[in-house]
Amino acid sequence: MPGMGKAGFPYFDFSDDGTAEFSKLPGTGGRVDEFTIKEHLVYEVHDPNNYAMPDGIADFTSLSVDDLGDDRVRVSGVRGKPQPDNYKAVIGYQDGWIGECISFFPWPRVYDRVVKAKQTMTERFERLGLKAEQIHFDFIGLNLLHGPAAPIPDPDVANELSEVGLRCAVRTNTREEAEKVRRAGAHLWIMGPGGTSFGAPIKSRPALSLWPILVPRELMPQHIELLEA
Amino acid sequence: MLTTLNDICYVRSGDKGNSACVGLVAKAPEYYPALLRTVTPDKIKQLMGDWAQGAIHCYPMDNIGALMVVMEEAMDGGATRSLRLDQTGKSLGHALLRLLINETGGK
Repeated sequence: MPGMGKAGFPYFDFSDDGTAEFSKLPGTGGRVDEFTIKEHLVYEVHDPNNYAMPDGIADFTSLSVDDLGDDRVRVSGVRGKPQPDNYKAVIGYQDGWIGECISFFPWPRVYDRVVKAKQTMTERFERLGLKAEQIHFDFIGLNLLHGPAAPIPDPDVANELSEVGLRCAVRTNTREEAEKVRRAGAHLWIMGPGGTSFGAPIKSRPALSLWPILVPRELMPQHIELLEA
Repeated sequence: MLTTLNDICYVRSGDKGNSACVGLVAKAPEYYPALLRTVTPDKIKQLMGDWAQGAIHCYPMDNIGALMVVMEEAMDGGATRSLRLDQTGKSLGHALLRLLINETGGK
């Protein structure tokens, strides 16, 4: 992908018949082609047959994508349904605290070190009497992003890696409990495996939960005024 | 030789509330049937384990050679309260690229 550091936003020319031609300004980075357009058509849309927006419900399985070359793509034939009866509103509310800590360990026997550090953290939590709603551990470099989908490493192979990290995140009801996670993380300096290293400890943070609701459209009247000078 | 989904698909992934949304786009039209054969709710559940706790839906998009995968209850409660580093599931879709291509059409 060329010039990703100077990619701007694409634009499109929209016709009366619903056809849109997407492109980008000459000299900008990035690419407008069949695949970059398709990627957006599958990005966080949920059911592509019924992509609900305030102005209508689009059926992304009905349209055609034609790559015209030279960073130009035509999208046509999209069908859909009338606007939904409800708007979606998302209400956020504070729902406890999150305590988090990260530390890294060096070769040699790096996998043994990170496993030992996890065990030590668990022992510290018991000693500190941590009251947690949920405790989550990751091995950074092994399963942080894909969890159970990441292949379980052969310890002999994993022990030869240059460095591996341990991340621990805990949900608690109070800030005081979340602070225990930061303290237990810092204790690894003294009680953890040799070579334990970490930067500035991470501050506890409040956790938000979301309560999505539907609001009947007639309860949310909209007025548009165009002011001309 | 083509062995994993990574050989035949592009991926784009993200979240909606507590659901993970993964779009898989075939790199060429001839790969689309193999994409549909390979990606099933059972296979995804097997791969993702307890990170995907709810129902899994696959929506084919014949018009663009793509498959939308929606995994319910797969975001550890959702971006704002998840304990995972990747709170919005941007990297979660890449895990699906590990699936071995189903060449024969059998289960």
